[in-house]
Amino acid sequence: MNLPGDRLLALAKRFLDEDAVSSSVEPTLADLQFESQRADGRAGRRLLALLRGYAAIVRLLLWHGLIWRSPVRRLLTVLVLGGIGSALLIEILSLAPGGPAGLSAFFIMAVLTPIVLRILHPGSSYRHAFVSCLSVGLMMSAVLLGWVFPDAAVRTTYPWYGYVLSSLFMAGCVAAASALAAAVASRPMPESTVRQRMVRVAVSAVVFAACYAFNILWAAIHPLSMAKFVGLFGWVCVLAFLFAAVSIVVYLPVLLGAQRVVPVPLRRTVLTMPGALLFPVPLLALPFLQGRLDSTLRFLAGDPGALMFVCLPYVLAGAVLGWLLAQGRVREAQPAVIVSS
Amino acid sequence: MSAVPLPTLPGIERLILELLVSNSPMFGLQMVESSAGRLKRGSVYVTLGRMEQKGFVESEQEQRAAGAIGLPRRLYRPTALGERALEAWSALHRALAWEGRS
Repeated sequence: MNLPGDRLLALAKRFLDEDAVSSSVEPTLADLQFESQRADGRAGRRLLALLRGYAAIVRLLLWHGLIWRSPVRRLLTVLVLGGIGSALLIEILSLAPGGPAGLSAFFIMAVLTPIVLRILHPGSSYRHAFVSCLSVGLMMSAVLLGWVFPDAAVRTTYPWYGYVLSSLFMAGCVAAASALAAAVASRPMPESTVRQRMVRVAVSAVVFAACYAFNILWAAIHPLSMAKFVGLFGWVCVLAFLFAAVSIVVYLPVLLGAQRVVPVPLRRTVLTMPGALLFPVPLLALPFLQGRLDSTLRFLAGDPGALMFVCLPYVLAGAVLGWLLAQGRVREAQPAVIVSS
Repeated sequence: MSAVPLPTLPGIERLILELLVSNSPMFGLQMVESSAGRLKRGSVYVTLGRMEQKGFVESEQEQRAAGAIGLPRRLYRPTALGERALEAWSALHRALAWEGRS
């Protein structure tokens, strides 16, 4: 005869860590069965006992992270991240189809996946990180295709091989992005250094996004409807991601290089300046990628007000990154100064 | 000064030790029921497992009558180390409370 919780125990034994099962899961299920028997045929009490018992198991698995210590935690991480990314993609696509808003979920997940992998699976090999990022991206791509393909208007526009080619192109893009993300997620650098630097880049990207959103809200899109809000959110995500990517590729090497070249620790104001002055790099990166660099430069040169308006988020966020990096450097240098004096 | 790391005794572990010292042995569910909501069903065995690793409590499966159905439950009792840790903490608490008043 099967008792409540028997199947759950069999599953737990199969997928969870042996110690965790014997010390936590088994006693919790034993309590569930004991309480269910104690109900003595009274349906209400039995139901209450079952609800309490299963709630305890859920709490054990999620709240106490038992599930993340299991041998299948990497698969679970990919499924959860892929699920969150796909939900985000569908939500954004259903509210604002087309434009950068539709792709912002991919950008968010491209940043989130390596960070989560780095936290949950420290010391991952390049191959593991690549496969995990690729799986998340492919899961989101499959959901995107499944979402778009049933639309009859889209289906009749292209021949069948068009879909095959575009699917292969999308898979290639995801693989290339995964290779980059895996390189970041599996770099042999001390965990604390990577975390501190990424947190500083993220803080400056948030400053940028907030400043950019404020600019647009104030100047361009009154009154704010739901569709406009989603469109703005998409743009903010894309540009903040671009800003973070440029920070990692350009700002960090320049600012950290400046610290290494000069023998004395640089003061905050000194390091804040190059951060602020590097703003044209991310500002012009997107028009360059879109092939509109000439027209953008002409427009900005002809309108100083717009130039100031557009530059402000980049200048502020770059300055914040320089200031934060100098702050870490000053803190690290302080004990040496005290000892030598 | 000794460099041996001392085991810590957080509030929940203290509560479990207090319950076990006064009513040993106990099942996990009994501890939850007599803690007035301070212990949760989904947490108690994680805490008990941690305390077992620290050497504060020990456990054994309950002895069951022949033909009993269902999973056997675990009975917990405090170890000598657990009782000493609780005594030491109580003494420290009394001393600091006295300091606080003076």
